[in-house]
Amino acid sequence: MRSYEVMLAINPQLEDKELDSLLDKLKKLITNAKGEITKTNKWGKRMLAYEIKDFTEAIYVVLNFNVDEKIISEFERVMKLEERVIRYLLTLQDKEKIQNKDS
Amino acid sequence: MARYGFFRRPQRKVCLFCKEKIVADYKDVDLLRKFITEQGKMLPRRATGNCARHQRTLAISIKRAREIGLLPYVAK
Repeated sequence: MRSYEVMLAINPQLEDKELDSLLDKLKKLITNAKGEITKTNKWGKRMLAYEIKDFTEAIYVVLNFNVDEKIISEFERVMKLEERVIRYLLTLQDKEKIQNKDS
Repeated sequence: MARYGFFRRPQRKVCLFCKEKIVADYKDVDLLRKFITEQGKMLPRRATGNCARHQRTLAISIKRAREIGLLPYVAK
């Protein structure tokens, strides 16, 4: 089990419902693999610093979760294939490094 | 009075991260913006006054923020 953080940049044209269903889909991948979601943080719409796939803004969501490292490759594959996700950033959260305040 | 040949060293800056006891994070865009130029380039250590360790973590954070579109690679 390791602790990860993923930041998603999602298509800004999505409705709230669609956004929730997308997040549920991703969360299920983790919970089905006996992982747990520790935190979900929706930032809402934000301007992109540069155009990505012709989008100038995106909905940002940050997910924190603990999961077995074996499931990560599958998780990444799904995110790459998912067209509603414009871009994602997966980072490993080292326990020692999390001394800084939650932001 | 400026005497010829007299040179005063500029005051040594202290690393902001050491001082505030924080770690650079790619999500904290406002903080990262203090360490890049208007063109979006990272400031060197001699300009930021950061210690080597924190400059390193800062560089990684800025690069991550660029990847996800929070910070520009080049701003016009």
